[in-house]
Amino acid sequence: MRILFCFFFLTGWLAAEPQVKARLLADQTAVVPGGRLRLGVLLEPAEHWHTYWKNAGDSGLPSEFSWKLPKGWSPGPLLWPLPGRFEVMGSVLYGYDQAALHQMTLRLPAGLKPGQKVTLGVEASWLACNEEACVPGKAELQLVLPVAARAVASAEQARFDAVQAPLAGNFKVSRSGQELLLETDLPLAQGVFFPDPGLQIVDAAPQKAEGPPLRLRLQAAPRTKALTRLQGLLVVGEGKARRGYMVDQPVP
Amino acid sequence: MKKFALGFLLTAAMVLPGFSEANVGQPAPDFSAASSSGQTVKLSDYKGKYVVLEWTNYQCPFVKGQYDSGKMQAQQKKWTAQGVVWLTVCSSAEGKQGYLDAGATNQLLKDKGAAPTFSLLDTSGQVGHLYGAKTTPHMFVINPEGKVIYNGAIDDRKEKNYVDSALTEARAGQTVSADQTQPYGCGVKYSE
Repeated sequence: MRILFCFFFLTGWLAAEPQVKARLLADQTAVVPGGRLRLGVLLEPAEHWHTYWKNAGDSGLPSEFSWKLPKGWSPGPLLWPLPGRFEVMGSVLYGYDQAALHQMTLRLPAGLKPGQKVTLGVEASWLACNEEACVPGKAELQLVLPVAARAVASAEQARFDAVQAPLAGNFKVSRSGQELLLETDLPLAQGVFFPDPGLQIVDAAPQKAEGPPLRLRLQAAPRTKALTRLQGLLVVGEGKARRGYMVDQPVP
Repeated sequence: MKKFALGFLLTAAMVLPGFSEANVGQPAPDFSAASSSGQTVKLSDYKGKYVVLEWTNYQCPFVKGQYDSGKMQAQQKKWTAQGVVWLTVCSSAEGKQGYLDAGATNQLLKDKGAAPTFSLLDTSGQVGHLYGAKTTPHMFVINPEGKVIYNGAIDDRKEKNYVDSALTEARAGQTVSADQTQPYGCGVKYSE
């Protein structure tokens, strides 16, 4: 018992300054029968730490979310917030150095009875790294929401609205040797491409942007099987005007 | 001409860290490096043998996971018993996470029951940059002809160990089915 106590005290002490704070949030205050609910895990890295996007880049590991929902409920697809591109000692990583909400939308069963309570949970795991070290983290999070005929927006709804699904765009990809040219019709001169899956481009190679219209020159990764499609996310704009476009184009 | 080309490659490797790579299907870049047991190890001395390169940093949680579960040692023992040369390479610079001197490396190998043929101290990061080693672990397999036949992760984070299957397939005369995967783990702690 004493050993357990000491252990608890020690882990409590070690966890006093976590690299990442994790919270489970909902966009509404109640569960409405037949309605929808957005659930999200907010991962908030401490200063100088970062977590990873679904393609981590040169090193790292994507965060993972395993939803624990009532029987028969299935989670919607995960919506990843727009990542950042970080250069760390010659490597390039894709991830988040600020609070990032990883959300999905639930379609709620029509047969729920107002007055009931619903327990929604998630097991979140992530890798947090700074320039010196990496520390894996894990949290089991739970929310209990009442079933009600009507719901109001929770205090966190703006966070959910701020993460938009990637837009569709017009793209063309051509290849000359090891250079891939991604052409767009966007009236911009700056943008960053985030490949997903990995092993498509040399992550650490500079991306040369020109325009308008925006064109990006990327360095193809050395591969044993030819690259037939360029897939990923093109991110343009700054701050609140930041937008992501889904790229999935054949490579001639 | 050959000397010139090699010189150029080495310069490119130093100028553009992370850009040069040991590419699958290409000759493995030759190197010599100091081992923790005091010998200088030269890759080309092992022509005619399969060679595994394992980038390591024993303070990285992914490397720890491999050694605490005994998985990495089991692979080292299994393959060195069959004549494969297994070289662990630590490219952590002095003062960076994972850096160990020869004595500390030998003690750690003993404590963990690790069984590589040699443990290389690549403190300058030269070998790491030459191969484009990005993570710990990051694995390379080189065949007896001196060509890279695998570059990537140690495993699929589930059951499949990519090094084990690359060696099994190649030694059976088959082509390596997963010859290039995305390595995962901590970044290599190179000197600035």
